[in-house]
Amino acid sequence: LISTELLIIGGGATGLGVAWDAALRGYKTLLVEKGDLTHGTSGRYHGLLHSGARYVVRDARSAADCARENLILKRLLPSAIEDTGGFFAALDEDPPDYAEPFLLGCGAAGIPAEEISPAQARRSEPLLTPRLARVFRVPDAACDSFDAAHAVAGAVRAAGGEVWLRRRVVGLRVERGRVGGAELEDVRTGERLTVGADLVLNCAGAWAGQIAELAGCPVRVTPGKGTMVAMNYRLVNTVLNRLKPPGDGDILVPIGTVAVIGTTEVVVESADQYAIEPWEIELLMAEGEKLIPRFREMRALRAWAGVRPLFEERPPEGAGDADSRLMTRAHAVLDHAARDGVEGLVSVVGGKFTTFRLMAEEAVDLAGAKLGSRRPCRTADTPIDPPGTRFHVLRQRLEASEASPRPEMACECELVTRAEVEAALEQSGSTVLNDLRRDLRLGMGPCQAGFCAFRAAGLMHRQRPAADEAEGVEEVNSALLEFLQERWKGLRPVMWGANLRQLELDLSLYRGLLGAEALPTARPPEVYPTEKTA
Amino acid sequence: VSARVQAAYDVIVIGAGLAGLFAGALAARAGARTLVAARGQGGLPLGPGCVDIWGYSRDAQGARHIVQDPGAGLSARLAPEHPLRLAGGEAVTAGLAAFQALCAEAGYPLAGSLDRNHLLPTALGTARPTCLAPESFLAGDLRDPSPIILADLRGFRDFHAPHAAANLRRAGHAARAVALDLPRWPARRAAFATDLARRLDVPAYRAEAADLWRPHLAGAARLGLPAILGLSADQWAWRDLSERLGLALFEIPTVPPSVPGLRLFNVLQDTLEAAGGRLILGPEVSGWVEAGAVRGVILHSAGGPRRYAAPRLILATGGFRHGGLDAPAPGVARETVLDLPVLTEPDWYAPLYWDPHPYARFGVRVNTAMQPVDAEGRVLHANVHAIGGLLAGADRHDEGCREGVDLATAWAAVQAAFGQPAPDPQATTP
Repeated sequence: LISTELLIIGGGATGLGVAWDAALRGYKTLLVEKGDLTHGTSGRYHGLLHSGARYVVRDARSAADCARENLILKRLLPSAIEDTGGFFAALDEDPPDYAEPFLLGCGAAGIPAEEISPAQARRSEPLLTPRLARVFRVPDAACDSFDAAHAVAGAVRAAGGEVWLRRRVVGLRVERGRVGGAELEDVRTGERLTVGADLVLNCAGAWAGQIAELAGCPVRVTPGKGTMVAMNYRLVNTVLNRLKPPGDGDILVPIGTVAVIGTTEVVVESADQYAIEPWEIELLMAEGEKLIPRFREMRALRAWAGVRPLFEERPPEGAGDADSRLMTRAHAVLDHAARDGVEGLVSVVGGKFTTFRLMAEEAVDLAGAKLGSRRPCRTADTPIDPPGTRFHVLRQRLEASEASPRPEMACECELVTRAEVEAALEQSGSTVLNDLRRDLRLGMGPCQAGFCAFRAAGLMHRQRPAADEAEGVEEVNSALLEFLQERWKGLRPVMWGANLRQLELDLSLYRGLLGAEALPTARPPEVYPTEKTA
Repeated sequence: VSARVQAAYDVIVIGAGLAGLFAGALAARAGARTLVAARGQGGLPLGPGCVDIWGYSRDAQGARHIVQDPGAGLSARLAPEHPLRLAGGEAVTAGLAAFQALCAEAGYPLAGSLDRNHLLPTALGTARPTCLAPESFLAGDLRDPSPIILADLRGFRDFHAPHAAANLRRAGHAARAVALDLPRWPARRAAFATDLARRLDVPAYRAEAADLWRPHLAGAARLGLPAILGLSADQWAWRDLSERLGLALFEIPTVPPSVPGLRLFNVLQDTLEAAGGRLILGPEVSGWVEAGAVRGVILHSAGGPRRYAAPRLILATGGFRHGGLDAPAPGVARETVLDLPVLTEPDWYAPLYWDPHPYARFGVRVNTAMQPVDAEGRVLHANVHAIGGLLAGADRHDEGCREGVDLATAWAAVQAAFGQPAPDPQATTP
């Protein structure tokens, strides 16, 4: 029997933050995740590191939390955060009376908000619409959640904690009203394993209700779907927010080579089965057009949706499922001993990427109290990145490949070299090309894996041990087809113009030239839920 | 647009893919003053350099099967609106024969017939049916039980022999992989297919390669290399290397740039120009329409727009892959040169990437003379013929009929444009 002090369920921002905090405090820590790091909501968000200004009018606590955490994370995680700054811009159509409570709220939350003239805003962001009424500058930033998660996972391991991927929790060990560990299933082999733990921390985000249910604790997490579209261009260098009450399509975030417009907000039945609907894309493109003229004519590269894990113990008056925007973005740490009479289980629910460190601090404070060994939190002052780390930009990859003795490119769009693919495969042992995407940005550029998927599959096959080759090739073939199907999921909602042209090329390569659909595979590919077009 | 009228032609073809170049070559050979004008090089450099006529059929359950005999009962397999059906059996047979003759004359014969598809290995190690293939592909045929060696060329990223060999073994073929070095290839230099092909066009480089590779190939009966064996179409590097290595050497097409596709492009350009035709590559091409009548084309280049007049226009601008069709917004399709009506349906895409997508059959509807027609079947422009990937009714990915549609519709269009009666599609089958 493997045992640990703290067992953390969920490899998103929350779980990684908790594991990092706990390991730094010296607790024996194990994190388990059913998929890859950021497999859930953390890998499907727009990439905004909030200044807090978005929340100042309606949700003061979230605003203040974000304002503090924004400063801390910029210091701790420079590799994943680009300090772009943000604008809150009121267009001539936006309600003029929002600026006053906005400024008051920023003042109360300690968020510096400086008014600049529309002309000044357009000088720094020339694509911005001329229909500007007022613009405020705030300390928003852009965060690459894949890079951030990898860095935090590295910090967990460096502090002595363990991170296990592709282990699904299939049961909690509950004896005499106390959770004492969990039963895990290796997702790839089906092998079962029991882990004993002094305390289980449920950080499963939108799936936290399902985990708590395993111990008979009712936790109602509302899955609030949000859809985003990545444009094929970095249209702005500053985060753009609309200066109006939060609504659909009110934010544009520059991330690397793209700009992401988000988001919609729709409560869905399940955190696993939801589709991107045509109206959402139409709405995002229309809102983008308001911020950036001719936005609709530009290439939309990809769409995706994540589910916010919204939680309120008592939903606010009048906020039914119909209007989840009224639900708080704040987090809650639930001690199921006090709440449900079940010892040994704590759930961390709600919250947002920007506040993951704070959530972790509160959760591990409670854990320490329950374990009877209070130790001070150290995360706020412990840099995750080594000193001198710069924000990763594509140019650095080009510089590195220019300097490399083996500059052979596997992915031209994102400048991923063959050596990098081989190293990532070696390190992760993964048979999922989508993991390489999260590690390296492989397949995230304009060709959406058209060229690199074939190469990456060939490289993956080369690293298989010869002994299990009979099965190996089917695994590799599945990895290839699943990756293409996964890319298709995000392409289909934005499939017009240049994307359709690219699809025609990619299909003529994979279906025509390479005959890929005839490959023997290990399992049938997953079909994602889709909506019919009207 | 005010622009000077340039020389007049008997026919102007828009598009320099297989359909456009073949139509241009046929017209020029028939004595017509012929201009082929295109924005870019078309689809040949993207494809395998083979001719697919009919590769796959689906059974009642929707399962996809490889077709052994592409010609047999072709019209029975085809929906009435399929462009191969509209072009007719005569166009399929005669178009294919004319194309084979043209390639053979250029010293680049394509082997095969409508009676039987080749079954050639892909770069992933699956079997791909195709009707005509260059001689340099033939030794790879998977009906041949003799063992296969596939070779990586170190530094060339677009071929992964171990993966392909493992898939061939999984399908019951005797196959293994070796890795070969490129002679004197600088370690930091990316090896591109066209780059390698140009090197291998040099006899001394081939001799070096053969000396370097021979020790690794002891006992090999047949050797598969990525399709990089020379750009020049005189059979070239492949023939010479086969002799030097003393084995059956074959090429496997891989992702673009396609060396065998470029060979076909060169063959067609040479044929067109030798017959007095002209090829203009680069400018945007739009239709020259006056009072509803198509009078020629306008080429938009750096020097400004120029008009070219012709009594006949052949549209070979391709489908969505090449810009003959465009979808400017979700659910909207348009034809980009003459704004011809495009046949569409409400649903465009299938949930699974591999499934037949409805949009693949969208395109311009034509009659048996390849004249564009409206929804009621009325001819829109009597002097315009539309061919190739632009046409509605074929799913080139799913059926494996891309080049067949190009050749048959090009042949039918040239027949119709120069006065021969269009054959009745019901009357003959190949």
